[in-house]
Amino acid sequence: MLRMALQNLLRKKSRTILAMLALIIGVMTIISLISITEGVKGRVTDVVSQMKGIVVTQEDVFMPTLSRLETSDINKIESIPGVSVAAPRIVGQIMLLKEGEKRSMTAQPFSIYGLDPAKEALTKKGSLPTGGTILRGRALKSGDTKAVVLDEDTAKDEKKLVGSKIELGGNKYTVVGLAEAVGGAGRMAVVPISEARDILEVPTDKITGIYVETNNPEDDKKIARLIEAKIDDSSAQTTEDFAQQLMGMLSNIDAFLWVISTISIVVGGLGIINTMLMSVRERKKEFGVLKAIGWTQENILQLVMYESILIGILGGIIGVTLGWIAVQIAKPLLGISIMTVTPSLAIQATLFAIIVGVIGGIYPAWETSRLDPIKAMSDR
Amino acid sequence: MAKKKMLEAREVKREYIMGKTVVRALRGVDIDIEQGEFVFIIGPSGSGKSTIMHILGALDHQTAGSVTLDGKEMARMSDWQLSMIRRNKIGFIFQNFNLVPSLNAIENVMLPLMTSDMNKTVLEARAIKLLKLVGLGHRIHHRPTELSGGERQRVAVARSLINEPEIILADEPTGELDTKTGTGIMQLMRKLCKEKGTTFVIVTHDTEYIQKGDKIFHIRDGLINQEIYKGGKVIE
Repeated sequence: MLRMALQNLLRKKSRTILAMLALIIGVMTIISLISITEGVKGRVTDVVSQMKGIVVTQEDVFMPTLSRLETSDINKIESIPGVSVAAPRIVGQIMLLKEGEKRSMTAQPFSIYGLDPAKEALTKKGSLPTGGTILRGRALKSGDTKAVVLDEDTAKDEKKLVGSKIELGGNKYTVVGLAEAVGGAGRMAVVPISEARDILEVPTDKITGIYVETNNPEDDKKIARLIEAKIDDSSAQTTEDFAQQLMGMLSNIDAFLWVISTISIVVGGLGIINTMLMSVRERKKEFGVLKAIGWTQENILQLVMYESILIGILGGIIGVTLGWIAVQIAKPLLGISIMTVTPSLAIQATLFAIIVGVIGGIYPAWETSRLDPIKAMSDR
Repeated sequence: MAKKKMLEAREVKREYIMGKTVVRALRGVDIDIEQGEFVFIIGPSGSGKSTIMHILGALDHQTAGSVTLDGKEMARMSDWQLSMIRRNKIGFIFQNFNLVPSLNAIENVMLPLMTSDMNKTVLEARAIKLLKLVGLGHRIHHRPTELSGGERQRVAVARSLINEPEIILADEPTGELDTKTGTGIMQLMRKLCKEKGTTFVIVTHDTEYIQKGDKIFHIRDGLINQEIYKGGKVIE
């Protein structure tokens, strides 16, 4: 009977595909969205785990690169009891151009991290996303000029080794070290703060942020509040604050995914009900004959359910495949390298499609099984 | 020699409600069919001949009266029981063959028992034997669209035999065939009746073939008008 159901589906290929379409799109959407959020979650967890201490930025800025603080704020923070070190930061993004290029459509945003090597040496662990682990060469040190530490991925992409030159904002820099590329940190160059000021055109009295470490991490929260009180329009966030914020954001994404999934189920289910109904009503006569020659209601119910479930299985497999392809295409575009379609996600999405197939088949199967054979056979 | 009584209809009435009018398709029909008989039900269109066939074939219920198959009253049976009767005891042949287009000849023949517990190999062997019997041994893997009208009806005849039924009901089996092909189908059914002892009830308005019948019921306006026995002897 399974073969018969398959043959019935193959008889009207275009309609079968149409029935599957809504399902395919639904599965595809779920696959790509879930793998994106899983990617984002992984990235966030990685970044958060790298962070220590307190990060001070301007209050209510959209991005850390837009934040501006006074250079003199560093001294104000260091005067707070319990603060062990306050290290300035100038972060920003530039487009990394190939040699000789004026502009490029394919250039990717590239992060510049300017820091003060002398202050950095006083921190327990570098707050940078690279984690401070130097793979080759050395870290920046006091007195460095026109020196840069690249992450290993960028070095590989740009074919740079320790000792190579790289052009950043119109000036040539010597690569002194390669740092470990921590998942999701993106492409970056760490330079002395004065150089970052140059590249990003930040005036001498301004910085974008301050990284603060305390003598006792348990006081972080308290000290963060003191910093905010002392510096106007500032926001001091502890790792814990960040984690809480991010987790809140992620749970919103999860809720959003649930809504999308529910919509997909409804749309996919309706698509199947619609096409299956059309299909079984068209074949009324055939079902009438089956009933007349001794098929029971259950047999007919089973046949229609098989057809519907097959649509679910095929739609699920095609949807997962297309979703996987979409993820492969999106990966480089979004720059989220952790994005993957895990086997369990693929299986779950296929199961979901099969369930939609079952639900979508119930009504058409029920209606067909109750056909009066005589009326059905006289149907033209 | 007393033959076993196969089908017995007594005072069978069937009424339909169409809109506000009551259509009295059958108004008290008595029919007796014994095992191994080749029976015709004839009459003009709208006379009720198809209705009585549907009732005899467990496809429809009468409004009044009784119909017994092998001595069992069918009016009291559930949908499932009637399905089982159709599957195990009755074979159907229709005017427009009613084959399933997506299945080939052998699959169409196996169709009535496809959902039974019967062993697939046994079923397939039986279907091949039947297709050979109706002269289609060389066409078992053809789809209905690849067969001529006469060949399709032969597939339908083979299908009606797959469950080794006690009785085969044929509704205008030659209606869509030319005379030569129609005669061929009729001869095939007569042969099967003789050789296998299967009872045939054939509804037709084609009086050309009815001389071959053991019993002929002439139905008109929902009543048996005449019961004609072989040899043209008329019994009121």
